This record gives sequence, C-alpha cells and structure tokens, in this order.
Amino acid sequence: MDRRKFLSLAAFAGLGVVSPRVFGGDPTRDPITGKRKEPLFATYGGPFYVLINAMGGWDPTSLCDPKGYAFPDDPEALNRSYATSDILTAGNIKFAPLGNMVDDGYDNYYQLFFEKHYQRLMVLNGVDTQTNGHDSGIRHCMCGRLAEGFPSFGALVAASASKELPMAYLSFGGYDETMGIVARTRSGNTNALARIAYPDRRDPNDEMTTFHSAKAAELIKSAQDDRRTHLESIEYLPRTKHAIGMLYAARTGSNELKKLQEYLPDMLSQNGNERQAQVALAAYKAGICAAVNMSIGGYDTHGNHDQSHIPRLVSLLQMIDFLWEEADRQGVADKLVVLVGSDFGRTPRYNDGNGKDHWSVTSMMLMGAGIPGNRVIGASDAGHNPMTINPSSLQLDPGGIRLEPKHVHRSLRRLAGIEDNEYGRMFPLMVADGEDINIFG
Amino acid sequence: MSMGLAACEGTGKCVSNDEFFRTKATVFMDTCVSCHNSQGAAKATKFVLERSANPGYVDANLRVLSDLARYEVEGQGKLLLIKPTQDGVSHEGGTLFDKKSDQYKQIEEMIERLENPVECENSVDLGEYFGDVQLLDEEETLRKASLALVGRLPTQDEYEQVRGLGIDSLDPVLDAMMEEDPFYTRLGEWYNDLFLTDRYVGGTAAIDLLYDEDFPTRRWFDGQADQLASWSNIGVARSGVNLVKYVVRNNRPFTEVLTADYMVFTPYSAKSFGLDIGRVTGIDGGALNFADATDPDELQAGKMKLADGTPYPHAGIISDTIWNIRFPTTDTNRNRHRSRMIYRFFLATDILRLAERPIDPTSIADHNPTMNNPNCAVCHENIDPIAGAMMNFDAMGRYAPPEEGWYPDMRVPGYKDQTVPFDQFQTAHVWLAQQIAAEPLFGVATVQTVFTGLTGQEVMYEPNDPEDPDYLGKHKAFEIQDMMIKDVAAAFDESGYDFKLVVRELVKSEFFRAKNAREAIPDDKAASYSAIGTAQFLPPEQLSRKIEAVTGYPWRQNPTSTDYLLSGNEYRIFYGGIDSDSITERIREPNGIMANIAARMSNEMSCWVTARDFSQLPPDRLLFPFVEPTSLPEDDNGNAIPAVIDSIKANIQYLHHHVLGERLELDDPQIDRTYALWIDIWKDGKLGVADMTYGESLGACGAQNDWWTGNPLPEERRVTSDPDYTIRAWMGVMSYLLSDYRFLHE
Repeated sequence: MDRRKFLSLAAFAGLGVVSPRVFGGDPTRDPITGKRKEPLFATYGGPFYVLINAMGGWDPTSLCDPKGYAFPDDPEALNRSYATSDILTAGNIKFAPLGNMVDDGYDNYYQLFFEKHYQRLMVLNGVDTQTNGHDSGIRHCMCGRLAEGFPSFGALVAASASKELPMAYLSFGGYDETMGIVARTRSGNTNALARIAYPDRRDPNDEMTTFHSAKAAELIKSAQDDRRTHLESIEYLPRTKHAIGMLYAARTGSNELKKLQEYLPDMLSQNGNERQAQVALAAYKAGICAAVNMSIGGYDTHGNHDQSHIPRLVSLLQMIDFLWEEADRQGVADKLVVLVGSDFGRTPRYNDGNGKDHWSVTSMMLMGAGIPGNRVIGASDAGHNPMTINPSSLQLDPGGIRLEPKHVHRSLRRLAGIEDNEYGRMFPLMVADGEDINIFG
Repeated sequence: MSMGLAACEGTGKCVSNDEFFRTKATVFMDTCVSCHNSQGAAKATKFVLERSANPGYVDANLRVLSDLARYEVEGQGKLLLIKPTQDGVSHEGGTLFDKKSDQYKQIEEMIERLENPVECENSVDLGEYFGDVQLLDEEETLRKASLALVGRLPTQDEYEQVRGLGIDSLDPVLDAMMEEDPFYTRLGEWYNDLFLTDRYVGGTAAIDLLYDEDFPTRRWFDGQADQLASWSNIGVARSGVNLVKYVVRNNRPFTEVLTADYMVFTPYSAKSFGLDIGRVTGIDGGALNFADATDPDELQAGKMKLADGTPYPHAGIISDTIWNIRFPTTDTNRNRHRSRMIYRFFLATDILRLAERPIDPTSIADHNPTMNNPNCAVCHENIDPIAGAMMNFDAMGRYAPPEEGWYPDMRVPGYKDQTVPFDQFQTAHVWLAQQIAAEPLFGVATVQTVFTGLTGQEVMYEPNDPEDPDYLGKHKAFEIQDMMIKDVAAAFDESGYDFKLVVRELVKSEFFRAKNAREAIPDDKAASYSAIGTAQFLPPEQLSRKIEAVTGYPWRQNPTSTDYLLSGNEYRIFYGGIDSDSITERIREPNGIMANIAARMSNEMSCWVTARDFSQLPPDRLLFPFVEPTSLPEDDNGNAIPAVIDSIKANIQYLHHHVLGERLELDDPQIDRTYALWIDIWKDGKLGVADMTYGESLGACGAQNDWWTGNPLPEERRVTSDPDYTIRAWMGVMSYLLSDYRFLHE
C-alpha cells in the first residue's frame, strides 16, 4: 500500500493523529479505561525453539543408540534388521545402518542424515523416563517432570519471549500443555493456516484460483475504502469510531498474517511433516512465533516393528532434515534450537507379533544454537538398560547418576536464559545439587 | 422524594447523598479510611468504612455514617466533627484538620445531608445524556436482538408485532425467542465463558475425571458406539451450564443456579452418574424419566445419592463435580481459587482488585500473614470464609467432608460476618449458596453476565484516578452504566429472579440500542460517552450463525462438517474464540489474522451462495429476489434500460437492509456506491468475456446440486455459467457487503 495513503487511513484508525484525549476512537487506548494499550507485540527475533514429538514411543536402538544382532537368527537380538558389526558412525555418533528402502525412494538414508548433521547433533542415550505410559512419557520428555502440572518447554520459552505474539507457541501436537502462561495456537491444520494466509484464493496453493478477477478485487477494495471514509464521516460514538479504526488497522497496518504470507513458500509442501516446518519457520521469520511443537506419529509398534517402525524413523529424520534445509533457505538456521524426543523406548526383545512393547529407557536428540554437536552423552548397556554418568565429567561412571529428562531440561532452561525468570521459578525443576549437570558444557 | 435546597447546586441540579459522598465529601475516602477500615488501626471502633474497591461501598459507608451522625457529645458537638479536630475529645489519629478546613465543612455538610436524606430522581440526568444519542428503533432493535439471542433474522410477522408500537412491544417477541433452542445454545456460551467447563467436552475427558467408586457406571457405554461415550461425556461436562439452561427454560427463580437441591441430567449423563443402579432419581425420589431417552439434548432435573445411599447435598453449580474440578484446590490453596470464582461469578466482585495497591513484601513477616498482616488480610478476610464454606469438596471435586475439620489456622467458614452453623458443616456449601443468593450483588452479577453476553463488553469499574484528565467524563460514563445495571438488577430481584426479564430489559436499554450520536462529540465529552454503543466485533459463534441467517447457508465445507468458525481445528481460535482450556479469554478486537479470516469468509461465501441463491425461484431467494442473471442494465448498443437498473438498485437496497441492517432510500449515496461497484465489475467482465480474457463457466462458484442433499438440481435451475457476467458482479457485491463493518459487528 502507498505509504501516504496508509498514513491517512491510519489517522482514521486513531494512530497518532486524533487528539489523545479522544480515547474512545483511539485504537491505541482502551475504550473503557482510556489507558494506553501496550503495542500488540514487538516482533520476535530470538532463538526459535522447535520441539519435535515422536509420538507413541520410538525405538532408539533402531536409531541413535544402535544395538543389532550378533549373527543371523540371533535369539537375543535387540534388532533383527541389522548386525551389530554393521553399525555406522558419523564423527562420534553411532547410528543404525538403516533407511534402505529403495522402493520407498530412499537408500542409506540414516547414513545420509547423520553424515550431514552430526556436527550439529548431540545424542543423549540411556535416558530414564521412569514410565511406560504414553501421556506421562511424552510429558516427562517435553517438560522435564513426570507428574502433571508443568508447561512444556516450548510454552515456557514462548511465554518468556513474549506471550503477546500472535502465534507465540504454535503447536501441531505432542505435549503442548501451557498451564495458562501463554496462548497456544494449536493447529495441526496447515491447510487452514494457508487458507487464512491467502483469503483471496480458493486454493491457497494456486494463485490462479482467485474468487474474483483482479479488476473486480481492485474495485471491491476501492469500494471498501470509500465505505470506510463514509462511516468515518457519520459515526460519532467513541466506541464505534474505535471499532471501525480497529477493523481498518487490522486490515492494513498490523496485519500479522501478511507477514506470514510473505515468508510462506509459494507452494506449500504436500508432505504434512514438511508443511509443519514451513508454517513454523514462516511464522518465526515473520516475528510472530517463538516456539513450535512439531509432531509425527506411528511409533507405537506393538506388531511388525521393523516393517512399521523403521520407515517412521526415516520420516522423522526427513522431517528434521527438511526443517534445517528450510531454515537455511529462510536464513535462520543459526537461530534454531531443536529438541527431538519421544514417550519412551521400546523393549529390547520382540513380542510374539514381531512387535516391541513399551520400555522406559530412551534417547533424546538436540541440535542447534548453543548445543555442542558431534557429541554423545550417556549410554545404555547391551540390554538397553541405562548406564550412569558422572555429573561433572559426563563420562560413564558406575557410581554416577542416571540421566533423566529433568537434567536435560535444566540445561535447556539455562541455555534459554529462563531458569530464574518468572516462569522458571513458577515451575521449578527439582534437581538435587549433586545432580545439577550441564550437558552443554 | 425529598428535594431539599441543600440537594441542589447553583445550577439547580439535584445532588444525591450518594453522589455527594463520592465526589464532594472526599475526606472520608481520602483520610478517614486509612485507619477506619476493617483491618486498620481503628478497626475496633464503630467507625469502620469499606474501601472503594468493594462493590456497594458507597451504600455501606453511608449506612455507617448515618448511624454515627447521630452521636453527639453533650456541649461539644457531633462526634464526627470533634474527633478529627480533637475539640474537647481525644483522637488516636491526632488532629487532622481544623474547623476552618474544607474537610471539616465536608463532614458538616455530610451530617446535614444524613439528617435530611437527599435522593434524586436520577443522580444523572439521563434525558439530557441520551438526548444526544440516536437509538435503534423497535425494528432495528429487534433485528439486533434476534441475531444476538437466536442467531437468525426476525420474521416478517415479528417485525409487524413491533413496528411503530414502542420499545416495550418487543417483550412478547423476545419472550417467544427465549423459548427457542438457539437461545439456550447462546445462553450456554455466556455461562461457559465463565465456567469454562467445555474444557472437558472432548472424548471422555469429563468422565475420566470421575472416580469409579463414586460413579461405578460412569463408563456404561464401553464396548458400544463411540457416539454414546461422547454424548455421556458432554452431558457430564456441561452439568453446570445445563443447570443454568434448565432454570431459565423452566422459568425457575434464577437463584436456583446456586440453591437448587437437584442437578440436571441428560439421558446419557444420567447413566454415567448412576441412573441404572438407583443412584440417580427424579426430584421427588421416584424414577427420573425423559420424554425421549435417546435425545442427548433433553434436560431433566434429578437428584443423586452418595455411595452409601444418603442424598448428595446439591447446591446448584457449586456442588457440581466438574465445576469444582475446573477450579481446583490444593493443600495450600485451600479452596481460595473457588472462593474467588464465586465472588466473580455471583457477587460481581473481582476480589483481587481489593489488593490493587503496592504491597511491601518486606513488611510481611508476621506469623500466618493471611490472618495477621493487613496487606494480606484485605483479601483473605473476604476470601477465606467462603473458601472454608466450600470445605467439603476435595481437589478432584468430590464431596468429601474433611475428617479432621477445616484448617484451624484460617478464618472460620462463613460469609461476611456470619459463620456456618457447626451442625451444618457437612453441608456448608448449601448454607453458603443460600447466603449468596440472598445478596443484592447476586442480581448485579447476573445482569453483568448478560450484559457482557449481549454486548461483548465487560462492565466498567469505577474510575479511581482523579488525576486522569478524563476522570470526570469516565466517572459519568460509569455512573450511567452502573445506574442502568443496578436498575435492572433491582427489577430482577423484585421479579423473583426472572432471568428473562434481565435479557428483555438489557435489550431495551440505551446501551444495547445506542446507534450513533446526533452530532460529532467534542473531545472533552468523548470520555463520558465511551461506554455506550455496542459496536461488538462478533465472536466466532455469533458470526457463524449470522452468516447462515443472512445467506441461507453455513460457512462450512459440506453439510455434515463443522462450521469453520466453530471448529477448533479451523478458525474458531484464530477468530478470537476460546477453547476453555489454555485459551479462556476472548479476543474482542480484530487483529490481522481475524481480518484475513473475515476476508476469506466474504470471498468464499459470495462464491458459494450467489449462484445457489439464483438457482432458487425468486420467491424462495434470500438474496436476489428482484433480479435474474439475465437482468442487464444496458442493451447490446449500450443504451441504458431504466427498468432493469431500477430492479438492480432495488435489490441492492434490499441487500443493504438484509445483510447490513441499513434502511436506505433508493437515491442514497450508499446505494449508488454499491451500484457503481456492480456496474464496474459487470462492464469489465462483459469486455473480458467478449475477448475471452474471462471464461463463461462459474466453476466451483456454480450451482449444480442442492447443497443440503447433494441431489442434482433440475436442469432449468442449474446455474453453472455466467455468459453475461452478472453472477460474478453480484458476487463482488456480496463480498463487499459481507466484509463490511456493519456485517462483522453488531
């Protein structure tokens, strides 16, 4: 919009032109109290926290805490899909040699992923979630406390960043409890967001599908502007003037969605996982979002584990890779802080249905700003039991402590600078002094 | 009413004692109250004032002053005058002013007034105030009320019942509307905005919160269709809101939302609560019967029994398990949250405002500060007795009287200066409900809730910053609103707590009907008019209903899906709605996201409904009764066809009224503007079709099938192409009108 025109319209909206005492018509003031309102929000440019929830309980032994079979048909095999001797390494990180479904369009995908990202990747193995329950497990993983009543880490950082942001905490699912400290935008429906972003298109992905011709749209807009001028000239009640001003201001000067529109790709991906990343990054780039819950499901594989579970892990890695690729394209890769986790792990043995059941030992993956990459902390033994670590050196230590989500979250809070702020104090992680480890060194 | 000379200022304007106390005799609230309050140094004297944050503080303080004004020390004078001046008597607060001071004169005049009470017809001249304001007439008020209450436009018959017959002619029409089901949907929304129990309507969230030992049949539906679980759960989650609906629909005294010795069941929630094992009975102890035991919306009153067969001590909403879970307690909170909510919902009091003053944390070193430190006690002396009276409900909302009694380090369970009789401790909440229902503030709270529901506005608080340059104006705005609310509350009390009276009176009030000022309001008067004129940006639920009422079709993808504006997965939350969970405050002013949603709605609905409406025969059309797709304003030679132009303008005039509620003359510039929009789009389209820039097909905006049934329309009624570009010109007009301020607001 022409800036001069905007200013003249803004004047009608009460933005700095109307006498400040006429608060009834001034959108910057509350029409009842007359008090000056805080600006809706200041755009956000801090770290962008991405919490990827792998829902259902993933199997770390098929991913970043690899344990294969000793020989074919090994009855003690933790995994029947690969031999322990075939386990691969990228830097200091070991991973399962999986992701080879050529028919599904990928080959050696694990290797591609880990070799591409190991330098920014920290793996935490042998994490004790202390539960086999789905809800409590994902809660423990994403907030650091097993019991109910804590907001997710995403909610904490979003509230701390600015709870006024229109999409301070965007959630596509997973553990996204806020405990009322920030409004959550819970929409797994990226189609809805796209439709909102492109109100003039029938199909948001197709710019040729406008409801009206370009000329008709221009004429409608012009008629709306004239109508506004007319209303401005005939409406005298302060509350009404204020409401008209607010509507017009929403359409022009403070249209957050136009910012989101600006950063959404012309074509949203047909892949739902990728769309989550596209919308989240566009919202961050627009300065209206500080944290996002991304979600991917399908890990609760009580039957046919290998056939069902491993492709889902590939999808997860693809999702993470896409996130980083998209962040690179948007020029914000240096701002990302990514936590990947799941409800718990899966049993070291297969059940009668070739599935794996719930197991309270798991892994977590961390990436991004402030997180040392190419590093593994913690471990599990050959039976996927947690091994203890020394709180100071973080090395394996039979006399040390088990790594738990609360330790990870303590470090994450410290990294985000929220450990001692209002929200951090409101929901304190009870970590004993001797266990106050800093996994980020 | 007495109208003594002392009551009049130089202008002859009546000044009531109430107004004089608030605006002239400021010494009491500026000086005396510092010590003479319930926790102050003079709390043990007879002279104890209430702080201004307490609703009704003026009345209460005038009662105290009226009593004290009678005291006189023989030969010395009035106690109220000789104490602060220490004129022959001692005053622990010392000498505060002398006999020549303004403060002394204020007290002197206050005493004089108390001895000769002054009440004015209206402390504010309403005639003068609203004389500058244009009000909606009967028909306009009816349209607005109909959309607000039942989400539809009035019928012609309803219009005729009120046309030119005065505003009170709305009463029977409104009463009839309040018999319709959509009114109860709206009523449920008003009260869920308070109770927020819709947090638990998904899945079996509410039923999962009930205990097996209390409700052994809570999951009676296991192994049966999912729909049964959903209906049961919704019935359980909404027990409290359904009580409100039941009381209103059956014209019961509205105090029963607190005092009812019954609760309200649906056929399905009754099963979860124990109907089939004899734990739920009718009100009379017999069987609880439903007219249609398969109707998930049918509401019947009944009673519950505890596991040991004794009666459950019902006390309206405050004994509802889910309501108590929604506002939980802990070992340290000790029901104070519930107490605060009771104040807010039923006593028109935001208890936390009592503490809206700086508190020095270093001053709180007392043992048990909520009892002993004035900084804390200012709230806790109000909160804690009610918290105690709710003692019988545990953290999970279960009726479970504490075995070892209530906390001895808290104030005694009660309300105000009364304590719960010891022999009623097991049913303390029942006693509490009776006390609150008898409070005048219960009526005020009810009126406030309806006011907010109808207008989307929170009620004003009394301004308390005299330094604010707009203080006087704001105070006047507050007084006017406060007076209206108290008047309606008084009528509500007198009617025996008739909730529908509140709705009727608020609809007829100037606040609901204020349309515009007669002329521009000068800056220095703007503040005093800041509270009138509803100008409500419609919340998603109301806009959704208005779209269907006006266009004939809901804004949803297909007949069986949920409306876009009602679905939490679509636009409800983005459009300022609540999820009753983490999002509990509505956004009442549009932001950019909401503006885009409104823009999409106007575009999408114009696409969907224009051809659909033309596919109907003219008498059945809601939008285009006066034109056809073949109605062209010019002949092939470009000559105007006046009759067609007139019909197009007549339809535009009709649309301005139908969509926007505007009654305009045919030569009104607004009609001209809309006509110009139509004609410009049409001319561009005509050229475009001719040179094949535009196609003739309407594509997705065409009408081939009956939308509701999916059945193909008869060939002659199908509207799939637009060779003359008229359909698309009307689409442009519809987009323009559906995006207008007056469509998106009421």
